[in-house]
Amino acid sequence: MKLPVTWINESFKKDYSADDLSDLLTLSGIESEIEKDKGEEILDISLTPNRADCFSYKGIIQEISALDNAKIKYEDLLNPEIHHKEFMNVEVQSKEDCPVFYD
Amino acid sequence: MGDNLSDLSNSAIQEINECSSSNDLESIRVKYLGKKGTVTAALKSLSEIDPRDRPAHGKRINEIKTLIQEKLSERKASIQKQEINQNIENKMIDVSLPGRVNFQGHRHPVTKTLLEIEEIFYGAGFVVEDGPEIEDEYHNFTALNIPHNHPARAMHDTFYFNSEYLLRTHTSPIQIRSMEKDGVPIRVIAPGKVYRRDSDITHTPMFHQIEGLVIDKGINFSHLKGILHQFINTFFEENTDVRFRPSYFPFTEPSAEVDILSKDNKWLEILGCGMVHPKVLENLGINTEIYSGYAFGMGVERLAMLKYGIKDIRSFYENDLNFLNQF
Repeated sequence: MKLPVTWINESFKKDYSADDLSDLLTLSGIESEIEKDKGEEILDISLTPNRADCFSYKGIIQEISALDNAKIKYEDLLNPEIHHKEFMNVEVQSKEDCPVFYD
Repeated sequence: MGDNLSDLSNSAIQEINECSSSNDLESIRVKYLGKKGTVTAALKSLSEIDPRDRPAHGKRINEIKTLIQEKLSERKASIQKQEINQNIENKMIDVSLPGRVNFQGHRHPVTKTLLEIEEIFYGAGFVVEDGPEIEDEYHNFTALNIPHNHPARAMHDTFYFNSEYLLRTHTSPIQIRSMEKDGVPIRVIAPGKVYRRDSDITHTPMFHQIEGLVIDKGINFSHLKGILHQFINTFFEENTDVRFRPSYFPFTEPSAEVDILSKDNKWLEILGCGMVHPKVLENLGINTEIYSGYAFGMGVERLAMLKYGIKDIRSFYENDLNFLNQF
Protein backbone atom coordinates (compact mmCIF):
# COMPACT_ATOMS: atom_id res chain seq x y z
CA MET A 1 0.00 0.00 0.00
CA LYS A 2 1.37 3.41 -0.95
CA LEU A 3 0.63 6.63 0.91
CA PRO A 4 2.18 10.05 0.16
CA VAL A 5 3.76 11.61 3.24
CA THR A 6 1.97 14.92 2.55
CA TRP A 7 -1.41 13.14 2.79
CA ILE A 8 -0.49 11.72 6.17
CA ASN A 9 0.69 15.11 7.42
CA GLU A 10 -2.64 16.68 6.44
CA SER A 11 -4.20 14.85 9.36
CA PHE A 12 -1.77 16.00 12.04
CA LYS A 13 -0.82 19.34 13.55
CA LYS A 14 2.78 18.18 13.60
CA ASP A 15 4.77 17.75 10.36
CA TYR A 16 6.33 14.31 10.21
CA SER A 17 9.30 13.66 8.01
CA ALA A 18 9.27 10.54 5.86
CA ASP A 19 12.07 9.03 7.97
CA ASP A 20 10.14 9.64 11.21
CA LEU A 21 7.04 7.95 9.86
CA SER A 22 8.95 5.05 8.36
CA ASP A 23 10.81 4.39 11.63
CA LEU A 24 7.68 4.80 13.74
CA LEU A 25 5.69 2.32 11.68
CA THR A 26 8.50 -0.13 10.98
CA LEU A 27 9.49 -0.43 14.61
CA SER A 28 5.90 -1.12 15.60
CA GLY A 29 5.61 -4.03 13.20
CA ILE A 30 4.30 -2.33 10.06
CA GLU A 31 7.15 -2.52 7.59
CA SER A 32 7.42 0.62 5.50
CA GLU A 33 9.92 1.95 3.02
CA ILE A 34 10.36 5.41 1.53
CA GLU A 35 9.92 5.75 -2.21
CA LYS A 36 10.36 8.88 -4.25
CA ASP A 37 8.09 9.64 -7.18
CA LYS A 38 8.31 12.97 -9.06
CA GLY A 39 9.89 14.67 -6.04
CA GLU A 40 7.19 13.40 -3.71
CA GLU A 41 7.99 11.12 -0.80
CA ILE A 42 5.74 8.09 -0.62
CA LEU A 43 5.54 5.45 2.11
CA ASP A 44 5.35 1.93 0.73
CA ILE A 45 3.71 -0.05 3.50
CA SER A 46 3.70 -3.86 3.54
CA LEU A 47 1.26 -5.24 6.06
CA THR A 48 1.32 -8.56 7.83
CA PRO A 49 -1.96 -10.53 7.66
CA ASN A 50 -2.85 -9.73 11.28
CA ARG A 51 -3.15 -6.01 10.63
CA ALA A 52 -6.08 -5.71 8.25
CA ASP A 53 -7.21 -2.71 10.32
CA CYS A 54 -4.30 -0.74 8.84
CA PHE A 55 -5.21 -1.56 5.29
CA SER A 56 -6.46 1.98 4.60
CA TYR A 57 -5.51 5.62 4.92
CA LYS A 58 -7.77 5.86 7.95
CA GLY A 59 -6.17 2.82 9.55
CA ILE A 60 -2.63 4.13 9.13
CA ILE A 61 -3.62 7.59 10.50
CA GLN A 62 -5.17 5.96 13.55
CA GLU A 63 -2.09 3.78 14.02
CA ILE A 64 0.29 6.76 13.88
CA SER A 65 -1.98 8.69 16.23
CA ALA A 66 -1.91 5.82 18.71
CA LEU A 67 1.85 5.23 18.40
CA ASP A 68 2.92 8.85 18.77
CA ASN A 69 0.03 9.97 20.98
CA ALA A 70 -0.73 12.58 18.32
CA LYS A 71 -4.14 14.15 17.94
CA ILE A 72 -5.80 13.72 14.56
CA LYS A 73 -6.60 17.11 13.07
CA TYR A 74 -9.74 16.29 11.17
CA GLU A 75 -11.38 13.74 13.41
CA ASP A 76 -14.59 14.24 11.46
CA LEU A 77 -12.85 13.16 8.28
CA LEU A 78 -12.46 9.74 9.78
CA ASN A 79 -16.08 9.58 10.85
CA PRO A 80 -17.87 11.32 8.01
CA GLU A 81 -21.36 12.66 8.46
CA ILE A 82 -24.06 10.95 6.48
CA HIS A 83 -25.72 13.41 4.14
CA HIS A 84 -28.21 11.33 2.22
CA LYS A 85 -31.61 10.64 3.61
CA GLU A 86 -32.58 7.49 1.77
CA PHE A 87 -32.34 4.41 3.88
CA MET A 88 -33.23 0.86 3.20
CA ASN A 89 -34.93 -1.29 5.73
CA VAL A 90 -33.17 -4.56 6.34
CA GLU A 91 -34.92 -7.33 8.09
CA VAL A 92 -32.98 -10.33 9.31
CA GLN A 93 -35.14 -13.30 8.52
CA SER A 94 -32.75 -16.03 9.56
CA LYS A 95 -30.87 -15.39 12.78
CA GLU A 96 -28.92 -18.57 12.18
CA ASP A 97 -27.37 -17.44 8.87
CA CYS A 98 -26.84 -13.85 10.00
CA PRO A 99 -26.36 -13.80 13.74
CA VAL A 100 -25.22 -10.16 13.91
CA PHE A 101 -26.29 -7.19 11.81
CA TYR A 102 -25.35 -3.57 12.49
CA ASP A 103 -27.36 -0.85 10.86
CA MET B 1 73.06 -47.50 -72.85
CA GLY B 2 75.64 -48.44 -70.26
CA ASP B 3 76.39 -44.74 -69.67
CA ASN B 4 72.70 -44.06 -69.21
CA LEU B 5 72.54 -46.72 -66.55
CA SER B 6 75.54 -45.44 -64.61
CA ASP B 7 74.10 -41.90 -64.82
CA LEU B 8 70.89 -43.29 -63.43
CA SER B 9 72.61 -45.00 -60.51
CA ASN B 10 74.83 -41.98 -59.82
CA SER B 11 71.94 -39.50 -59.76
CA ALA B 12 69.89 -41.88 -57.58
CA ILE B 13 72.69 -42.25 -55.06
CA GLN B 14 73.28 -38.51 -55.04
CA GLU B 15 69.59 -37.78 -54.43
CA ILE B 16 69.47 -40.36 -51.67
CA ASN B 17 72.49 -38.84 -49.93
CA GLU B 18 71.07 -35.32 -50.19
CA CYS B 19 67.63 -36.35 -48.97
CA SER B 20 66.88 -35.42 -45.37
CA SER B 21 63.41 -36.71 -44.51
CA SER B 22 61.71 -40.07 -44.72
CA ASN B 23 58.93 -38.57 -46.84
CA ASP B 24 61.37 -37.38 -49.49
CA LEU B 25 63.11 -40.73 -49.35
CA GLU B 26 59.83 -42.45 -50.13
CA SER B 27 59.26 -40.24 -53.17
CA ILE B 28 62.78 -41.04 -54.39
CA ARG B 29 61.99 -44.74 -54.03
CA VAL B 30 58.83 -44.28 -56.11
CA LYS B 31 60.74 -42.23 -58.66
CA TYR B 32 63.31 -45.00 -59.32
CA LEU B 33 61.84 -48.27 -58.16
CA GLY B 34 58.08 -47.65 -58.26
CA LYS B 35 55.78 -49.18 -60.88
CA LYS B 36 56.46 -46.26 -63.19
CA GLY B 37 59.99 -45.66 -61.87
CA THR B 38 62.98 -45.25 -64.15
CA VAL B 39 64.72 -48.49 -63.09
CA THR B 40 61.52 -50.45 -63.57
CA ALA B 41 61.11 -48.82 -66.98
CA ALA B 42 64.66 -49.85 -67.88
CA LEU B 43 63.88 -53.45 -66.95
CA LYS B 44 60.74 -53.33 -69.06
CA SER B 45 62.63 -51.98 -72.03
CA LEU B 46 64.96 -55.08 -72.01
CA SER B 47 62.72 -56.68 -74.63
CA GLU B 48 63.69 -53.96 -77.09
CA ILE B 49 67.41 -54.77 -76.76
CA ASP B 50 69.39 -57.16 -78.87
CA PRO B 51 68.79 -60.65 -77.34
CA ARG B 52 72.57 -61.26 -77.12
CA ASP B 53 73.11 -58.23 -74.92
CA ARG B 54 70.10 -58.93 -72.76
CA PRO B 55 71.65 -61.08 -69.98
CA ALA B 56 74.54 -58.68 -69.34
CA HIS B 57 72.28 -55.67 -69.51
CA GLY B 58 69.66 -57.23 -67.25
CA LYS B 59 72.33 -58.16 -64.75
CA ARG B 60 73.60 -54.58 -64.73
CA ILE B 61 70.09 -53.15 -64.12
CA ASN B 62 69.46 -55.60 -61.29
CA GLU B 63 72.77 -54.63 -59.69
CA ILE B 64 71.75 -50.96 -59.86
CA LYS B 65 68.37 -51.84 -58.42
CA THR B 66 69.92 -53.71 -55.49
CA LEU B 67 72.41 -50.89 -54.97
CA ILE B 68 69.64 -48.27 -54.84
CA GLN B 69 67.63 -50.46 -52.46
CA GLU B 70 70.60 -50.87 -50.14
CA LYS B 71 71.37 -47.15 -50.19
CA LEU B 72 67.71 -46.38 -49.56
CA SER B 73 67.43 -48.60 -46.50
CA GLU B 74 70.80 -47.34 -45.18
CA ARG B 75 69.70 -43.74 -45.60
CA LYS B 76 66.27 -44.55 -44.15
CA ALA B 77 67.82 -45.97 -41.00
CA SER B 78 70.07 -42.97 -40.52
CA ILE B 79 67.24 -40.47 -41.17
CA GLN B 80 64.98 -42.28 -38.69
CA LYS B 81 67.68 -42.23 -36.07
CA GLN B 82 68.18 -38.53 -36.71
CA GLU B 83 64.46 -37.86 -36.50
CA ILE B 84 64.15 -39.75 -33.23
CA ASN B 85 67.06 -37.81 -31.75
CA GLN B 86 65.50 -34.56 -32.92
CA ASN B 87 62.14 -35.56 -31.45
CA ILE B 88 63.72 -36.35 -28.12
CA GLU B 89 65.50 -33.05 -28.11
CA ASN B 90 62.42 -31.01 -29.08
CA LYS B 91 59.96 -32.73 -26.82
CA MET B 92 62.21 -33.03 -23.85
CA ILE B 93 60.37 -32.86 -20.54
CA ASP B 94 61.66 -30.41 -17.99
CA VAL B 95 61.59 -32.65 -14.95
CA SER B 96 62.15 -29.68 -12.66
CA LEU B 97 58.69 -28.25 -13.55
CA PRO B 98 56.01 -28.63 -10.88
CA GLY B 99 53.62 -31.53 -11.52
CA ARG B 100 50.11 -31.04 -12.87
CA VAL B 101 47.63 -31.05 -10.01
CA ASN B 102 44.39 -32.99 -10.42
CA PHE B 103 41.31 -30.76 -10.68
CA GLN B 104 39.71 -30.62 -7.29
CA GLY B 105 36.09 -29.55 -6.86
CA HIS B 106 34.80 -27.59 -3.93
CA ARG B 107 31.52 -26.93 -2.18
CA HIS B 108 28.86 -24.68 -3.66
CA PRO B 109 28.66 -21.37 -1.73
CA VAL B 110 25.13 -22.21 -0.54
CA THR B 111 26.22 -25.60 0.80
CA LYS B 112 29.24 -23.97 2.38
CA THR B 113 27.09 -21.38 4.17
CA LEU B 114 24.59 -24.05 5.20
CA LEU B 115 27.32 -26.17 6.78
CA GLU B 116 28.81 -23.13 8.51
CA ILE B 117 25.44 -22.29 10.08
CA GLU B 118 24.87 -25.93 11.06
CA GLU B 119 28.24 -26.04 12.74
CA ILE B 120 27.56 -22.93 14.82
CA PHE B 121 24.29 -24.36 16.14
CA TYR B 122 25.76 -27.82 16.50
CA GLY B 123 28.22 -26.24 18.93
CA ALA B 124 25.28 -24.82 20.90
CA GLY B 125 23.79 -28.29 21.41
CA PHE B 126 21.30 -28.38 18.55
CA VAL B 127 20.47 -31.61 16.71
CA VAL B 128 20.16 -31.52 12.92
CA GLU B 129 16.81 -32.83 11.65
CA ASP B 130 15.49 -33.47 8.15
CA GLY B 131 12.07 -33.73 6.57
CA PRO B 132 10.36 -34.39 3.23
CA GLU B 133 10.25 -31.70 0.54
CA ILE B 134 6.82 -32.86 -0.58
CA GLU B 135 4.69 -31.98 2.41
CA ASP B 136 1.07 -32.42 3.25
CA GLU B 137 -1.07 -29.42 3.82
CA TYR B 138 -1.49 -30.29 7.50
CA HIS B 139 2.21 -30.07 8.38
CA ASN B 140 2.93 -27.09 6.15
CA PHE B 141 -0.02 -24.96 7.25
CA THR B 142 -2.70 -26.28 9.56
CA ALA B 143 -0.41 -27.58 12.32
CA LEU B 144 1.41 -24.24 12.26
CA ASN B 145 -1.73 -22.33 13.17
CA ILE B 146 -2.51 -21.39 9.56
CA PRO B 147 -6.00 -22.85 9.03
CA HIS B 148 -7.70 -23.09 5.64
CA ASN B 149 -9.11 -19.59 5.42
CA HIS B 150 -6.16 -17.83 7.09
CA PRO B 151 -4.86 -14.80 5.16
CA ALA B 152 -1.26 -15.82 5.96
CA ARG B 153 -1.57 -18.56 3.33
CA ALA B 154 -1.37 -15.73 0.82
CA MET B 155 2.10 -14.79 2.17
CA HIS B 156 3.41 -18.03 0.66
CA ASP B 157 3.11 -18.54 -3.07
CA THR B 158 2.65 -22.26 -2.83
CA PHE B 159 3.23 -24.96 -5.47
CA TYR B 160 0.31 -27.32 -4.97
CA PHE B 161 0.16 -30.87 -6.36
CA ASN B 162 -3.46 -31.28 -5.32
CA SER B 163 -5.58 -30.12 -2.43
CA GLU B 164 -3.56 -32.27 -0.01
CA TYR B 165 0.07 -32.27 -1.14
CA LEU B 166 2.41 -29.39 -1.94
CA LEU B 167 6.08 -28.45 -2.07
CA ARG B 168 6.96 -27.14 1.37
CA THR B 169 7.05 -23.35 1.52
CA HIS B 170 9.19 -23.25 4.64
CA THR B 171 11.19 -25.64 6.82
CA SER B 172 8.80 -25.17 9.74
CA PRO B 173 6.96 -28.47 9.07
CA ILE B 174 10.14 -30.19 10.26
CA GLN B 175 9.49 -28.59 13.69
CA ILE B 176 6.14 -30.34 13.85
CA ARG B 177 7.57 -33.64 12.61
CA SER B 178 10.42 -33.66 15.11
CA MET B 179 8.08 -32.80 18.00
CA GLU B 180 5.73 -35.59 16.85
CA LYS B 181 8.70 -37.97 16.76
CA ASP B 182 10.72 -37.04 19.83
CA GLY B 183 8.33 -35.02 21.98
CA VAL B 184 9.65 -32.32 24.31
CA PRO B 185 12.09 -31.02 25.49
CA ILE B 186 13.65 -30.54 22.08
CA ARG B 187 16.48 -28.53 20.52
CA VAL B 188 16.77 -28.93 16.73
CA ILE B 189 17.78 -27.12 13.62
CA ALA B 190 16.29 -28.14 10.29
CA PRO B 191 18.07 -27.12 7.09
CA GLY B 192 16.53 -27.74 3.69
CA LYS B 193 15.21 -26.66 0.33
CA VAL B 194 11.91 -24.79 0.17
CA TYR B 195 9.80 -23.73 -2.80
CA ARG B 196 7.77 -20.63 -3.60
CA ARG B 197 6.31 -19.26 -6.82
CA ASP B 198 8.49 -16.20 -7.03
CA SER B 199 11.43 -15.21 -9.21
CA ASP B 200 13.31 -11.91 -9.36
CA ILE B 201 16.61 -10.36 -8.24
CA THR B 202 16.04 -11.36 -4.59
CA HIS B 203 13.81 -14.44 -5.05
CA THR B 204 14.24 -17.83 -6.68
CA PRO B 205 11.53 -20.51 -6.90
CA MET B 206 13.73 -22.83 -4.84
CA PHE B 207 15.88 -21.63 -1.98
CA HIS B 208 17.29 -22.87 1.30
CA GLN B 209 16.15 -22.21 4.83
CA ILE B 210 17.37 -23.19 8.25
CA GLU B 211 14.82 -23.47 10.98
CA GLY B 212 15.61 -23.65 14.66
CA LEU B 213 13.35 -24.80 17.47
CA VAL B 214 13.83 -25.04 21.20
CA ILE B 215 11.10 -26.24 23.54
CA ASP B 216 11.81 -26.69 27.21
CA LYS B 217 10.71 -25.64 30.68
CA GLY B 218 11.09 -21.91 31.30
CA ILE B 219 12.31 -20.84 27.87
CA ASN B 220 11.75 -17.14 27.25
CA PHE B 221 12.51 -14.41 24.75
CA SER B 222 15.88 -13.56 26.28
CA HIS B 223 17.12 -17.06 25.44
CA LEU B 224 16.13 -16.39 21.84
CA LYS B 225 17.89 -13.02 21.78
CA GLY B 226 20.99 -14.54 23.34
CA ILE B 227 21.36 -17.38 20.87
CA LEU B 228 20.70 -15.17 17.84
CA HIS B 229 23.17 -12.49 18.95
CA GLN B 230 25.76 -15.19 19.42
CA PHE B 231 24.95 -16.77 16.08
CA ILE B 232 25.10 -13.50 14.12
CA ASN B 233 28.41 -12.45 15.64
CA THR B 234 29.92 -15.87 14.98
CA PHE B 235 28.60 -16.10 11.44
CA PHE B 236 29.68 -12.63 10.29
CA GLU B 237 32.94 -12.94 12.27
CA GLU B 238 32.57 -9.49 13.79
CA ASN B 239 30.47 -7.61 16.31
CA THR B 240 27.36 -6.69 14.36
CA ASP B 241 24.65 -4.25 15.43
CA VAL B 242 21.41 -6.17 15.66
CA ARG B 243 17.85 -5.00 16.17
CA PHE B 244 14.69 -6.98 16.85
CA ARG B 245 11.67 -5.53 15.07
CA PRO B 246 8.12 -6.66 15.88
CA SER B 247 6.49 -8.66 13.12
CA TYR B 248 3.91 -11.34 12.63
CA PHE B 249 4.03 -15.06 11.96
CA PRO B 250 0.99 -17.22 12.62
CA PHE B 251 3.04 -19.84 14.50
CA THR B 252 4.87 -17.52 16.87
CA GLU B 253 3.67 -14.98 19.40
CA PRO B 254 5.27 -12.53 19.92
CA SER B 255 7.09 -12.54 16.58
CA ALA B 256 10.07 -10.52 15.53
CA GLU B 257 12.27 -9.97 12.53
CA VAL B 258 15.96 -9.48 13.05
CA ASP B 259 17.89 -6.77 11.18
CA ILE B 260 21.61 -6.18 11.07
CA LEU B 261 23.27 -2.84 10.39
CA SER B 262 25.11 -2.97 7.08
CA LYS B 263 28.34 -1.14 6.28
CA ASP B 264 26.43 1.69 4.57
CA ASN B 265 24.32 2.20 7.72
CA LYS B 266 21.17 0.48 6.50
CA TRP B 267 19.15 -2.10 8.41
CA LEU B 268 18.96 -5.37 6.52
CA GLU B 269 16.50 -8.06 7.46
CA ILE B 270 18.15 -11.43 7.93
CA LEU B 271 15.77 -13.69 9.83
CA GLY B 272 12.41 -14.13 11.47
CA CYS B 273 11.82 -15.53 14.92
CA GLY B 274 9.48 -15.61 17.90
CA MET B 275 8.10 -17.57 20.82
CA VAL B 276 6.24 -20.65 19.61
CA HIS B 277 2.49 -19.97 19.57
CA PRO B 278 0.70 -21.94 22.31
CA LYS B 279 -1.78 -23.21 19.73
CA VAL B 280 0.99 -24.97 17.83
CA LEU B 281 2.06 -26.76 21.01
CA GLU B 282 -1.53 -27.55 22.00
CA ASN B 283 -2.11 -29.12 18.56
CA LEU B 284 0.66 -31.56 19.46
CA GLY B 285 -0.70 -32.22 22.94
CA ILE B 286 2.09 -30.39 24.76
CA ASN B 287 1.19 -28.75 28.06
CA THR B 288 1.78 -25.04 27.52
CA GLU B 289 1.62 -24.39 31.28
CA ILE B 290 4.90 -26.28 31.65
CA TYR B 291 6.64 -25.95 28.29
CA SER B 292 7.42 -22.94 26.18
CA GLY B 293 9.86 -22.40 23.38
CA TYR B 294 11.25 -20.29 20.61
CA ALA B 295 11.71 -20.77 16.91
CA PHE B 296 13.64 -18.95 14.23
CA GLY B 297 14.08 -19.30 10.50
CA MET B 298 16.53 -17.82 8.06
CA GLY B 299 17.22 -17.80 4.34
CA VAL B 300 20.61 -19.35 3.62
CA GLU B 301 21.08 -17.56 0.25
CA ARG B 302 20.32 -14.23 1.89
CA LEU B 303 22.95 -14.81 4.58
CA ALA B 304 25.48 -15.91 1.95
CA MET B 305 24.71 -12.79 -0.12
CA LEU B 306 25.31 -10.56 2.90
CA LYS B 307 28.45 -12.36 3.97
CA TYR B 308 30.08 -12.45 0.53
CA GLY B 309 28.54 -9.26 -0.93
CA ILE B 310 26.60 -10.94 -3.75
CA LYS B 311 24.05 -8.71 -5.48
CA ASP B 312 21.84 -11.14 -7.42
CA ILE B 313 20.47 -14.29 -5.78
CA ARG B 314 20.11 -15.96 -9.19
CA SER B 315 23.90 -16.11 -9.64
CA PHE B 316 23.89 -19.05 -7.16
CA TYR B 317 21.97 -21.17 -9.68
CA GLU B 318 23.52 -20.14 -13.01
CA ASN B 319 26.46 -22.57 -12.59
CA ASP B 320 28.89 -19.95 -13.87
CA LEU B 321 32.33 -21.34 -13.02
CA ASN B 322 33.88 -17.85 -12.92
CA PHE B 323 31.46 -17.09 -10.08
CA LEU B 324 31.68 -20.42 -8.27
CA ASN B 325 35.48 -20.53 -8.37
CA GLN B 326 35.63 -17.44 -6.16
CA PHE B 327 34.53 -19.43 -3.14
